[in-house]
Amino acid sequence: MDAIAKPSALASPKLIKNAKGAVVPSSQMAHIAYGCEHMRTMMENARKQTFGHYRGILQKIYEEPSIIAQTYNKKTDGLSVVSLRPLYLCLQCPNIMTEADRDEHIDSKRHIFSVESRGGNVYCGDCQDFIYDPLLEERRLQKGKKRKYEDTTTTEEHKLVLNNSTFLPCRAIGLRGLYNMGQTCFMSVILQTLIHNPFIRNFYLSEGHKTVDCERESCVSCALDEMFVEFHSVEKTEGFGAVNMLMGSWLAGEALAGYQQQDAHEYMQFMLNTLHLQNGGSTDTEDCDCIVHQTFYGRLSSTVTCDNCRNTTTALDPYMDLSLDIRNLPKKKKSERSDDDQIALQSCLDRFTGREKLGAAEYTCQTCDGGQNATKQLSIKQLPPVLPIHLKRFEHSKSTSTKLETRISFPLTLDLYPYTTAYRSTSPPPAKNAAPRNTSHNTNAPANTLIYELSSVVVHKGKIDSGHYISYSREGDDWFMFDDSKVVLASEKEVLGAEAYLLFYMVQCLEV
Amino acid sequence: MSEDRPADGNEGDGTGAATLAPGMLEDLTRDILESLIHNIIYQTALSCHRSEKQLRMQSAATSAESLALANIEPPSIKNSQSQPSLPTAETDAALYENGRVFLKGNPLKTTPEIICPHCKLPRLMHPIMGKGMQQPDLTREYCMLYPWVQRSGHDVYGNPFPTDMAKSKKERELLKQQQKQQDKESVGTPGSQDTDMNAGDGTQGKEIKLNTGGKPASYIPWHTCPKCKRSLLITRFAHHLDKCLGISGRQSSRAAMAKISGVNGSGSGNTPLGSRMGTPAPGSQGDGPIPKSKAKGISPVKNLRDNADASDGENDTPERKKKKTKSSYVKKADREKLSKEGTPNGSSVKIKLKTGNPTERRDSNMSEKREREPSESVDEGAPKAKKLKLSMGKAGSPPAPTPLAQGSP
Repeated sequence: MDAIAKPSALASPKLIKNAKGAVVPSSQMAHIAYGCEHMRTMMENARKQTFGHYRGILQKIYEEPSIIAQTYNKKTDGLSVVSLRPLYLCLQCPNIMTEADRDEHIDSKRHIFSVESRGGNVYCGDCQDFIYDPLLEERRLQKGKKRKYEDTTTTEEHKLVLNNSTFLPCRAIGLRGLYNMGQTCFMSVILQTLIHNPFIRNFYLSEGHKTVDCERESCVSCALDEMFVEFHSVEKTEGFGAVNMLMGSWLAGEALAGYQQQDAHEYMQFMLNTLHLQNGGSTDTEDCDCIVHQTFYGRLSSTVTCDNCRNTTTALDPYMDLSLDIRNLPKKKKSERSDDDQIALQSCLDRFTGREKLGAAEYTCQTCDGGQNATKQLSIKQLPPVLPIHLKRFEHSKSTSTKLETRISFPLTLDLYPYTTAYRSTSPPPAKNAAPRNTSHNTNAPANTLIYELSSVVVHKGKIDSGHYISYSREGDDWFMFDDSKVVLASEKEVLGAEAYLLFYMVQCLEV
Repeated sequence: MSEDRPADGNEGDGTGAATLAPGMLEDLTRDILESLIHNIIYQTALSCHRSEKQLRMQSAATSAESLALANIEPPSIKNSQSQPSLPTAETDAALYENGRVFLKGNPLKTTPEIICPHCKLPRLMHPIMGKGMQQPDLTREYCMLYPWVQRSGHDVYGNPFPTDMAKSKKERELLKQQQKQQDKESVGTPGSQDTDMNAGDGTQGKEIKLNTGGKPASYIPWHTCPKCKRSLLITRFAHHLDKCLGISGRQSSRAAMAKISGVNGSGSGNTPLGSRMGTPAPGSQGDGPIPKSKAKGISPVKNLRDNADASDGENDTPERKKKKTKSSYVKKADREKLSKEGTPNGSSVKIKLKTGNPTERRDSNMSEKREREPSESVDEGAPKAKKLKLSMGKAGSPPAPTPLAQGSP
């Protein structure tokens, strides 16, 4: 859908060999000027107008109420008809047409380009096909908005990069397993999710952490850098032995050191913290701009309302992941639950952000000056680009530890808006279906939604003391399963059916 | 999800205005349902169309570009922009003019083949094995990004899964034998797993080999311990490092370290070197007096090392292998006794029992690994991380600056 959330095959300029076997510097990936020859004519004659019109149409599609772009005038009687199916907006005049009318319009008026009303794709009447013009696509992916941050790379810099880069094997796109070094699968799964996290990957592949300049001994960040370089520049397909990472982790974190099984969630927390410290993170977590905080840092708002005087106190707590309780929900919800003992992730999140009664013993109100019954509510104040969700499968009591094997169903796309402070505070009792949440009346870019897409899943198999971790990650549109040194293609169905322990949701689109 | 919101709106408008005639609701419902299904299919088809057409567009552009670059004479290697004669080329699908490509016609019709924009080679369109495989034309060279393989027991590249890393001794011996046989028969490059369809290679000199890039199923890599510079099986690494760093068995580790340093003082003084030399040289596996003599020279060192991490998969020298045949099992207590006494042979016997690794006999793997490892471990003084990166560069892979271009969003 958009360029950020779905990185396709990595683009890298490289040298090519000509027929004689001599290395010829290629300028870069061949640059396509226009979507088709007809668009070339159009652009060469009326470049500015075309861009202007296209932007206007995109705004109509993505910002104005959808009913505008979905209404056409019937040819026969001139009545306005609302269509659920895609309509076509002429790129050269304000007409909105059905598919049949569009073809007629092309023939009669010679307005050959029209924009489809659902996603803003451009149809060329002369090609009789959709075209994907590079310049128009760029605007489409921005949904007609101006970029907040312009790409500042100049052609000179671009050339410099081209002339100083070498060929990377096409196969090296980061899909490699990690050898199990002896009870290290907890480590492998977390490393795989980091390797396939586009934010972290871009940071490391753009020399975010310079190993050459790093003076730390057994630096975990250097070890991760080594892995990124190895995974993205070497034409090997067998597993990788993350020896330096193991040693770095053990030296940096005493609690996790040693030849024994560990909890993947704990290891993730340790990794994020260590990477934060080793990538110039400041100890002041409030405003740290290290890559880890830019990617994972969010804040929870915790509001406590005194039942007596209605006085509210709000506290903000930073988080790097949400830990959700998955113990059986209260009985009253049983009717909602489907056949088998399956709980939806959304209901766990509902409970997480739900109201919680505090007894007088637990809460002391400052205004009432004494213990009072109170209501506590958590909500998400700030969301990170990548949200790890931890399902509390492991219960530790004083004497024993048990694993909850409850099935948790989780979606490929998750709207996190209902769990935010903004939503929770505006709609006191969450009355569903009562008020239309979509205030902009636009279905293509609905307001008040925060769509996140599933990007990785860490799965714990087996019993608590003798289990095994595997993970799934998405690369492009494909899902892969990582089981130690094995990498296997996985189906969405398989991913969604897994006994998830950690879920990684990534924001669907970012404004750049 | 967002799809049904306008539907609600429309329905609401309709019902609000007037009461419906009988049967209207039914028609309306069917109409809405059909429209929604239409939209889903439409969007799926369009996104598929988009990705395919963009691939073809790029392919058309890439082949025009390749043609143009092939046309400029070889001396003009420096910079195409500064050339007096600008590179141009025209194919059926595109026109290349000085760095810009203008498409001709619909790439879905003009360009049947997908060409990798990076390596400029055609992409394979079907997996080389497993589900949906098709035998490609092996007289051509393809981009190495093959379609993902779906075959049970194989990874996405088509490499067999590593066989169970904790096989019994007998199984390993058997595997070893088979491997040897295969190695003798096939002339293929070691390390790269040839695929099924290459069985009849050699008939045509031109034929390329499909390369899954991986290792044989039984391959287990070795790695040099960053701490003590010993070479050991990756599968035993955590166990080794635990002791080597003195994390769990503090006492034993300390004792081991003391012993090692003791040997360094009195004995040959080359513990790390010994461990490297102790593994058989490529091609000299199994038998031969050469490794034996080598191993003898360093056996005391080895012996002590064994004390340090008793069950670790240290490198078995061929010599040890031989010993194994003599005595099959020594009780743990005995082993300890023996090792305390410092009898060189006693402890090496014990090691064999536990590991008996078949891997080092697999000549091809070993030779590969041998090539790589020395560069990593030669300069012990240098920081390890740096060392690694450098050695990767040496191995023919691009140096560190490369990712810069790749990573820029």
